[in-house]
Amino acid sequence: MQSGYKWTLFFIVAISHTALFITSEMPPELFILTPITIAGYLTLIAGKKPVNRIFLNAAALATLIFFISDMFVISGDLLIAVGNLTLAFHAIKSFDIRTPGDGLQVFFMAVIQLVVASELDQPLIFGAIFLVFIASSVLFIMASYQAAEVEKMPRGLLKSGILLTLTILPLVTVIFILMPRGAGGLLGSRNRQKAVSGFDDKISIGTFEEVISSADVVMRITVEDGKVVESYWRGKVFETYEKNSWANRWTHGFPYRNRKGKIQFVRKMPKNGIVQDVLLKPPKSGTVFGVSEIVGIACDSRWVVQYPNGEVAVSRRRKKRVNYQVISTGEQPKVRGKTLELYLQFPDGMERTRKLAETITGLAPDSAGKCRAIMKWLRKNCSYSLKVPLAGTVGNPVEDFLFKTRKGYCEYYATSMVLMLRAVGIPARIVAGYRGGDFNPYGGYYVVRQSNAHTWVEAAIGPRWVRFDPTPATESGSRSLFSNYLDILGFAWDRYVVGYSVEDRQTLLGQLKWPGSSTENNGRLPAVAISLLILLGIMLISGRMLLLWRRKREFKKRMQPVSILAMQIMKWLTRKYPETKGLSWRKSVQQIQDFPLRTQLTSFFNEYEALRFGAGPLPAKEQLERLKTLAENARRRRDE
Amino acid sequence: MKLTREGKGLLITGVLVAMAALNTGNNLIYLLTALMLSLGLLDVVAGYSNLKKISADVVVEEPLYAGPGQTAFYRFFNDKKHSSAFLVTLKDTDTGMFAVAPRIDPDGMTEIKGVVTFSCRGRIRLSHMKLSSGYPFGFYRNVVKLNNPKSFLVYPELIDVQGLLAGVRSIAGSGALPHPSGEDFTDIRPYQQGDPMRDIHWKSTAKTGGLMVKEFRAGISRHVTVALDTSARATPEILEKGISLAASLVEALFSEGYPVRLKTLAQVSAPARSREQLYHIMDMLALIQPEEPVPQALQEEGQEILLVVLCSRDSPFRNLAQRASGVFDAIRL
Repeated sequence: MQSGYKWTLFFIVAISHTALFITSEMPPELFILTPITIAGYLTLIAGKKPVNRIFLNAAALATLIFFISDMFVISGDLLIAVGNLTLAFHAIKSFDIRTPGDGLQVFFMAVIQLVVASELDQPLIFGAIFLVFIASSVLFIMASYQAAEVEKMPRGLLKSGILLTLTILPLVTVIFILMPRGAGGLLGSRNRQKAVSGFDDKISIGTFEEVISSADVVMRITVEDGKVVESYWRGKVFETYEKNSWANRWTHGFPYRNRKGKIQFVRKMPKNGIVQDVLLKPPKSGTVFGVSEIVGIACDSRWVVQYPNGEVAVSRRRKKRVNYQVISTGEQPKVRGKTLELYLQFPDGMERTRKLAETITGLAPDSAGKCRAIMKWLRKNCSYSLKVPLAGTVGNPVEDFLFKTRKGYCEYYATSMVLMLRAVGIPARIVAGYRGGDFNPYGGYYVVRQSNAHTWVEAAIGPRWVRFDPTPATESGSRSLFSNYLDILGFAWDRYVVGYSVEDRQTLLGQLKWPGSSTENNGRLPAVAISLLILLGIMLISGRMLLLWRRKREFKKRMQPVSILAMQIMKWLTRKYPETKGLSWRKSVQQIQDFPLRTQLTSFFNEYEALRFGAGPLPAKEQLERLKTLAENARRRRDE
Repeated sequence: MKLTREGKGLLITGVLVAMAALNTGNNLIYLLTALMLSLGLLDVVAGYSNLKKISADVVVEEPLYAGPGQTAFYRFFNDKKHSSAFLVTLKDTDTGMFAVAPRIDPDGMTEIKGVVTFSCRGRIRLSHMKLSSGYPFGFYRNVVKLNNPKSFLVYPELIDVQGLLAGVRSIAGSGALPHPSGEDFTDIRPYQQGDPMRDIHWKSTAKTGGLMVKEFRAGISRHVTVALDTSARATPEILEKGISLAASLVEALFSEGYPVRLKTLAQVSAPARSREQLYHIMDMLALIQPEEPVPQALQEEGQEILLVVLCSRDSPFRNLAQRASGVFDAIRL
């Protein structure tokens, strides 16, 4: 094997290991095997002999035992166990590369490793890893085949490999786009993707700090027609405050069956609706985010639920990225008189807060004035800080904020304001969502990060809920040109690769039209045609394989007696003429001095070769009988 | 098209990855599935185009004898105008011919030298010769059967008969096989087709303007007849051995300078004085089948030195054998 081939193999292994390592989901202990793998490949490149198979087989057996215990006991997770297994097998195999076929086994193992890594994480860097892997795969497999056929790489083969690499990249893209796909979960798979966006159904005071401190991208929002919007991406609404936590009691909303991929919650869509395309990272709940008030949604979820508080949620089978389009009016939700009681609940034991609220709002003429007074007081007397005492260490974090520390972040501000508003008889609720985000001028979209997570207040004043944000605005730094371009790449990766959906495929296929055809194409017909083609391909391949299998079985059935007979004669020869041990039949026969026996044996083996390796039909019974007679004659001659 | 072991590996891995993609709905796994599919698809398409307009030929140095390895030249031709072909294999399962051309240039030819062994005599037709290639990835092997298969005439295997001839000389005396060398010619006559070049008498040729050859002294016939018992009573193995022995005798005697002829139960060849005539006898031996005796073949002829190869116990040549200089029994050998 050439050193170029060995280096490419090493490179392939390095790529798949890197992918697994990047996920940071694998237990670090087994990465200690990586130096062993590197040592194995360096030994191979140096041209040293592979390690004895006995040691390698023992190591493989130990690895299998470890895999079983890993799957059921140590990690208790099939995916992690498979990842660990590939790491161990790579280490073992690195000392056992004897033929180009072994290299190919390593390649297939690297593919499995990438599958595991893909299930654990899907960052942008995977885009580069996959690209390099695809390109190097072509060159490696070609080199592998060439090494198996001829020793020296023929002139021009590398150039041909580069051409094939350039061909395979668009081919993979086309197949990836056209390939039929489902939502997954066929065999009860577990999704390993971490939910990185959204909020739980319950928010405890003091838990936002961790969220706000993260700069992870939560969603990217493209506002169509470049409309400038007040960037409050409304999400979950909470009305019940109990034991220092906000909870949502609206467990039943209005479900809509999403048959056409689009739902509208109003009879007539607004003319100047704000259309927002949102790509949301795997969320904690099904709540979607968008500018208030959402009146329509287009997504691939089977069900969409609209809650009376204006919250909209989609059904999700798994924690996957959600790609949707919402249409908002830009107005706040309407107040429903029947439910207002819910928004006046005030927890017991917070009389100080009630008194403070009454004091602040004493001079306010109306509800709006009271709201403004409370907001003004909070902004004037409290300061924004993420360094607050842990909620568990203080009895009542809201009163601690209002009367002691006067330092806190959005959760503290909004909760205090809601409770104070309720104390003075104004129905109020807390809304959790995202505020602001970096507008990427090159991509024309908002990048919303965890640090943009925010809570604000909605008060029922007049026919609609009115938004109040008591939290002082915080400064946000501007992004560099490079960072903006990198984010565009990240967006493209998330949207068009990781987030590519069945609907995207159908939309794309819907664009296909015969030249001059005026027939409407909804993409279903091409999709069905592709599926049928694939089905046909699978059937053809399966049929062919079945045919070959049957032919092989028939061949084995008819050839086995012929081969067994030849083996018996060879054994008999070795027994009778020990000097023929280990020799081919031709050389063995030459060793025999008895010329008639030599002739008989030659006849037997010639007949055997013609039957076994000749291009004629499979041996018939008569031919087998004749071969048996020849063997018998030879034996008899020797015995005589 | 044939799926290779590596191809089966790709198929199994591809199915596993596709199942993982369907199960998880993970687009990155779909991407890997697309990669596996693309590799398979590209292998089929590129493999097909690689083998398109490729032809091959085998040239083996003649004469061909069964048994020892012969030098063969495998020639691969690429009739494509622009693209080279890579890693093309030429294989014949019957004869074991095998060669790999690493690269065949567009509109060009690649010659690979190899050794081929024919196990038996006769007309060998390369009807199962196939061109194949697993290029570019080796997951499938594209196989193309060659049209207009070539055929070779393989002469019987030659064995060492010097010992047997020495035995004849020692038992029957040197008169039985007089040495053919010597310049005691008695006459000069015009050249006849088949006369060896060494017998040409150059002086008289120059004088007369036509080729003249020397006629050697009468009394000692320099013709040797090898009579081969091709009776259908002989078993095929014995007959083959006899044919091989006869061919070896003819070859050895011709090399020693004897004009040799072959007599079978149904055919008689002209005396081989030249290589061409020798090959004519070898052609006979290569194609010979069990025969029924014809009366003329059983008759003795005057001054010939007779060597008989017997292949059956009750041979029609048993009468000839009684006055032969040497008798070789293929059954006992």
